[in-house]
Amino acid sequence: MANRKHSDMAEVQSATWTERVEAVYRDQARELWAMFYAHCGKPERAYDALQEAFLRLQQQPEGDILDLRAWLLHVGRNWLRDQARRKSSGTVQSDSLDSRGGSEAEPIDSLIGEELRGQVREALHRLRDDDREVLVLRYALSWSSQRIAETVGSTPAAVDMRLSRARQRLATELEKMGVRHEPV
Amino acid sequence: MNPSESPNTKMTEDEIDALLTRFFAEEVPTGLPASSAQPPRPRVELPPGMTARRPRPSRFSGIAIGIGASALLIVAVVIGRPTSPTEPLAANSVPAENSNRTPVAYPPVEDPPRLLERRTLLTEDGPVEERTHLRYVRVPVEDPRTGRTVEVMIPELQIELFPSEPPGHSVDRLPE
Repeated sequence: MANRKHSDMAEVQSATWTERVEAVYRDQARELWAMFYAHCGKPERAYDALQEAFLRLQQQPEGDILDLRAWLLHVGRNWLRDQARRKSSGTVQSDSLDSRGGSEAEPIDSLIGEELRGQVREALHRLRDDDREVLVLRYALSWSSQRIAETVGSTPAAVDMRLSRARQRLATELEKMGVRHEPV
Repeated sequence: MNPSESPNTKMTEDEIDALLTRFFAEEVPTGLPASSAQPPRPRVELPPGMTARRPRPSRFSGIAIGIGASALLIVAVVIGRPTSPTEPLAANSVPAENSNRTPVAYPPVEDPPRLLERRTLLTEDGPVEERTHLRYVRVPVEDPRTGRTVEVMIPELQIELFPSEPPGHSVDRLPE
């Protein structure tokens, strides 16, 4: 009887933990993906890091982690570092994720071709970490300067300044790669 | 915008803005929830008269300081060993409290650089004076347990080399 009761309680706790993890995923997944993307510059790898972090979180006993978001960030970044070290890991970089978003327009109408996309990725990768971070938070998450400031521990004015400089540096990097303004 | 074949004109900020907007619209996987539902973290409002304080060093910072101090001692021992061909001509004109190379107890406060050792070395280019300073600097470290950034103080060695003054021109001559 006692064992049955204990088992029932464990199931309830497990269900609660699962629900909590799912809720965290709903609330935090996009932001965490953006953080991982800012770290590695690869959308697929950032998504893998996100999945890995949540998979490990699911396997953790409930109550062992004080700050879920910080824990997920830490695990995901560590996983990315491990992946970066394993140069011969055989990971295939797919440029055509089935789950990738975007417009429904025909490829020929797409404003950003694959070549340009790769160049933008490369240019972002060449930026400083803090520049890339504010750009990702602004454009991937559509965050306001106020919210970015609260996340990175700065002021909205400083964030605006950093964004402006980051855009200019990105333009410079793109120019070096041959991506330039086309006068009308 | 056109890769490779456009005239030599850098993109404007507005163009970069539009480019990034379109870029990330397609870069973010659709498998993710539409947007983060979490509101911005509320700021902790301090009562009037109170000021924000630096985070207190955690146990982790103590460990980091210990590791740093150990590394410093190892480096100091390695640097202190005279190696051929740069045998010191005259060593240790340092202040009395450090002249016997006693390990310096790291202080809990950030202090100005402290002269650890000053000695003259004979090199191919003539005598040079080597000055070794020690200072403690604050560095942000991510606490692996909480993921938060904490500040720890670590020792930093600064070694400078100066051409030695010609005999008779130095204002800080070594004792005969």
